[in-house]
Amino acid sequence: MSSRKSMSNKIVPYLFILPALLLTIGILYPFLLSLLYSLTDYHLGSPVTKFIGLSNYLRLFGSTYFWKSLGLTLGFAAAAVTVQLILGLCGAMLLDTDVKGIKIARSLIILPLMMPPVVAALMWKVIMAPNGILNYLTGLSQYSWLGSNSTALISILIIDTWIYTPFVTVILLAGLRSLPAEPYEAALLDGGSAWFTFRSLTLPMIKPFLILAALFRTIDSLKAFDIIYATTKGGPGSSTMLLQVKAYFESFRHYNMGYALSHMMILWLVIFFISRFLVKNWGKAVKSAARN
Amino acid sequence: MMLVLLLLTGIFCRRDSDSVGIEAGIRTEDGQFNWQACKLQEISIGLNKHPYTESLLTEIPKFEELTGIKVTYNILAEEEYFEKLIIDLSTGSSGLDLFMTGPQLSWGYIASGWIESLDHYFEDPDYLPDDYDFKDFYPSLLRANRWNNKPGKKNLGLGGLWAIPIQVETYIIAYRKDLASAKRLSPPKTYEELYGFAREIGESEKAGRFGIISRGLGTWPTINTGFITGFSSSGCTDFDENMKCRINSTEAVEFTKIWIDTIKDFGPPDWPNITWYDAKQKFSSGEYGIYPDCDFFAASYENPDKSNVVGKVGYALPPAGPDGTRKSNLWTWSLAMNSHSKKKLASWLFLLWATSKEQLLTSALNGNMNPTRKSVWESEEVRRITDNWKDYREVVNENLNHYAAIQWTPEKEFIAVGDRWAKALHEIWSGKDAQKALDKAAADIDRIISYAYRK
Repeated sequence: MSSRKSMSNKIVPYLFILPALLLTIGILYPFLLSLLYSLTDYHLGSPVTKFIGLSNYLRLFGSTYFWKSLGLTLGFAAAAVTVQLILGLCGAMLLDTDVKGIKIARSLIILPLMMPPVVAALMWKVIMAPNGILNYLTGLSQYSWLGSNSTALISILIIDTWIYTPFVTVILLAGLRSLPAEPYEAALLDGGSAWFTFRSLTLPMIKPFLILAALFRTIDSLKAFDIIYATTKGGPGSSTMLLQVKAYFESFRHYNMGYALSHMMILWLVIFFISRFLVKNWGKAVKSAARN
Repeated sequence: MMLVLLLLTGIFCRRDSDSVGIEAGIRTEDGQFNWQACKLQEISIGLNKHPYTESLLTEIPKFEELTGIKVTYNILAEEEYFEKLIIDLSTGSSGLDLFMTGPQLSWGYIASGWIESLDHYFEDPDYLPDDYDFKDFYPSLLRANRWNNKPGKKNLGLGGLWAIPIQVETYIIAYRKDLASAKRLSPPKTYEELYGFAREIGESEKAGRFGIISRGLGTWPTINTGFITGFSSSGCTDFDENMKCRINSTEAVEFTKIWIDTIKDFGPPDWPNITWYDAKQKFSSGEYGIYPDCDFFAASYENPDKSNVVGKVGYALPPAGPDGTRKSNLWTWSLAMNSHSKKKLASWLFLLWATSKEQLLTSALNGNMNPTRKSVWESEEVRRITDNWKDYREVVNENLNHYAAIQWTPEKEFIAVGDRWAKALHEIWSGKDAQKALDKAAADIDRIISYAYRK
């Protein structure tokens, strides 16, 4: 009897962690399979797949397109996150006031988030067309925002910002609403200026939320695909050919699955290191905010 | 992650991809062709958003009634359709029994073993209804659908028959005859004249009309129509006999420059994002003066429900090259069978029905131009329609009979090659030196080919 009990004591903990274990396997299996395939010449049209070691990676590093594409991917993510954090913080501070009608504004701000990104992208494609409303408003004649090398990526950045800034706003608004009132009352009594209050109180206390929003947006921006695919398909030329779009073309247009997966593994590495850095800083910021 | 999930789907789908082969019972006991041989089966068809598809959908219930076979279909816009097709076929899935394809696209599918060869069906009289009349198809279109899976121009038209043509297009120029007459312009006979024509016929930007429109996405269809037509007429070729890419030859660079200059100077400002759907719609709305592309778009230009330019469009042969040579590329939408289909006999019955004289005539009358059967093109009903389209019939006949042929060199990396070439056109349009852009593209294409055919 006692041996059965001790057996059951041994098994129960494993049963408890089983769902987590299965989940981990479910996540790791496709990832490891991708890693494996990135070391092969896997071609969708070929019945034979051979292990070719690091050849795909060497081919990738030797390609000027890869470096250009990686640069575009990183530049796009950095610009998107910076712009969205600034606008999101401004929006959150605006929505944190008690102005009349602000409750309606708080509901309306999330409208872009409710729209599927592909639909939003197509809507913006019409707005940015040569005869679209954006040219009418800016006074430009027949300018092609998405068809010009110099503005295609910026246009995608605008669309991305329109869709995702509300996400940042909502996170930061939650942060602002959770801040204690006492430090602000003390600053008010001491005659601290609005800028001083923002710089010395709001910003340090809201830092964990800023890093959290930056983390989510960095990961998403580095993987941006749907907006690009719906508007420019990586063009004109290669001006919006971000790494993930290039991987899509390599795999599902040109059949080169092994080579495409090597792109994705590099992208994963980039996301992993940036996320790790942000998570570390987030932990520090949480501790620092708690101390304050 | 999406790539991986699709990959996994493929792995699991491969398990159930065994073909059941051809079933029996295609002839009844008294020797009649048995259209009911696969009653109660269900087949699925992949269709591109195209006038053929529009003409087919209303007719499918007739097939279902004739055979007792239920038909489901999946329609997507062109670019998305091509990509979805690769995903479906590459998994070895039998999800699509039949699909629309064209000879150039089929080269990759043939090399990958995704298409069923149709020769053994056609060679067995039991599998053909008595009134099918296979010889009625234009021989050049059947040749276009044959390939022996070896790279090189000399191999086109050799080997197995992989698909049956249901529509053919050659590339001509459609221009605003009313505007040209008012400005005393004749349709351009050379590419220099095309430049001048686009300049003259395009009014000021404020009037909302430009000189020329052309498809412009950074993918192979941008090369496939007006561009490669002029490219070939100018004495250029994509590959030489040793499969070395020649898109950067002196003649090729010269032609590419004049083509891109014409579009850049008088074409749509968002050219890199223009699909053929956009271009056709814009020309039909009267925004543009000339459109060097598919001949069959005439069916839309001349349809009062879809066009503002009915009766105002003139049709002319594509311009000739510097030495007077004139060539046109050719594309023939065709129906092919998935080699992994589990319902090959039912699929074959659909192929027969969809490519029969009666059905292709109905299809043409419903807007699917141009017919692939001589009897349909020459029929009174089709003549009655096309005779109203000014020079259309004469131009198509001349182009198809004298100038049109596939101008691409068959090889299995057609999509990658065409996409890379189109990217070079974008670069030139954006201001990059044509020679440099094409040199780089040619080097990349050589790499693609040598990797694909490595031993």
